[in-house]
Amino acid sequence: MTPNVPYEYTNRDLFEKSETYEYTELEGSAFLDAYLADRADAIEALDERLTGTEQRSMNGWEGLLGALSWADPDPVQDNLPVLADLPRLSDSDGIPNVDADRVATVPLLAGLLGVPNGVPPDGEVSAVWLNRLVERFEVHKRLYAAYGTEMRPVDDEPAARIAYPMLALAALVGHDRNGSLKLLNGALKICDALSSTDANAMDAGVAALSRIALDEERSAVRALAAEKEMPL
Amino acid sequence: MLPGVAMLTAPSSRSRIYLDLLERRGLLPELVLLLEDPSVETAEQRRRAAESVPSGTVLPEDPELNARRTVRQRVEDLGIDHRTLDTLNPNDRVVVEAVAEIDQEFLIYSGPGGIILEGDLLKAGPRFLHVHAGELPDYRGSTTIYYSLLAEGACGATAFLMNENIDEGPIVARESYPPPKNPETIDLYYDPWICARLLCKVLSLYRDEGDLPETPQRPNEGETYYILHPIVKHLAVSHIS
Repeated sequence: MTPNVPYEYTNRDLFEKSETYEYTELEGSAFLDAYLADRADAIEALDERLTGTEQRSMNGWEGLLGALSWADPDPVQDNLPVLADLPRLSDSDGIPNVDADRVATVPLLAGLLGVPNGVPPDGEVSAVWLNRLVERFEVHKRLYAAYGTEMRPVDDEPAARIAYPMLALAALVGHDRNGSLKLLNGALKICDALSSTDANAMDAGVAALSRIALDEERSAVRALAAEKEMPL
Repeated sequence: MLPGVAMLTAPSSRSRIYLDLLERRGLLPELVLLLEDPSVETAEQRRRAAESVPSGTVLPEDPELNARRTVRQRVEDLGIDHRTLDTLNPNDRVVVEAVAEIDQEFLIYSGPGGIILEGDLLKAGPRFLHVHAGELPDYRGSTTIYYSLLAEGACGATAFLMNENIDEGPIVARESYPPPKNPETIDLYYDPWICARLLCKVLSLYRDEGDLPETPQRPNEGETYYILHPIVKHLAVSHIS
């Protein structure tokens, strides 16, 4: 069914021209339908992009994390553990100290997603870094390859595109664990940017991780709507 | 006019609604600094221009509210001492200089949103009194009225004295408010209206006591939010409808 209002937040490449989200209109349940249709279309396009690419064996978060260059996301998706069932790891290897004077974005995100331990850590230091990265995206709608003191970009080098679905996933894990609306809000904006991008222009790793991020984001929105007893 | 109080305004619903309630409660400021730049159309002005304006009441909670009278019209009609500053940037040198010249103890800040005020402005003279549509420190930042509606089913406002960190200055007063009767009114009317109500309460206290209480915030407490995604907005509104 075609929604009777457009989902206007992915109708251009947001990596080219970002969205401010100021004074957005209220359009009722039709808007929520339009959002779901947008994500369904994006996931379908990503699936088409990934058709025929090499499949790799991936299990759980460890597999997901080793998969920054994987192909078909379905094995990962099918084998993702339920977050609530995961053991709680405190901050661990791969997470820099909060006052580190330089961090590289993609390795930091890998640490937040659980490399090398296979489980995303949920200690206070991890929460600080996740919040900082989400805030950087919220303010600039861009991520940089590395950040220095006070989270200033070390230089103008942009982060690799894989950083965006990684941050969306890390934010969704955080939202799942503590219900943070701030993290869900950031993930929604990142997923708009992913959905706005031509799937055929993505490399396989970015496409696969984007597909998982979009699916997880849609699940998180549905879960929140159900928790608030709203039809979706 | 209320001695010791000045106000800095923008061509916004917030400034219009502040002045409307202050006029009705007899709490108008002695001096108004009007920030204006006709060459710039703000996001709020675009939204207001696109709105299908009902002919009668805009806010069911306050049928007397007049949010259509511009700041300039009201200030001129009431004969309030005022200065016009041709900019919408509160950190502009002309604003800093104008603020430095006023001798009121407090300046109600109702300038353009989304701009972090710089130290030169905040230290120019009067103390900056601001009302934020969220209960601090739990709801710092942008569009917090929707976040609190979704999380708690209620709204809040906090009056505080501004410093250089976003929504971290000492708290003067804080209030909870029920959800709006019409969610469509939140951005342009209900959000500034609850802030105006708390502002009136604070200024009444200042008029009666000659001073304002201050409770410092701990910066590490609470959460800072960013402008909300339309999906979160729709879920928040559905939650209260």
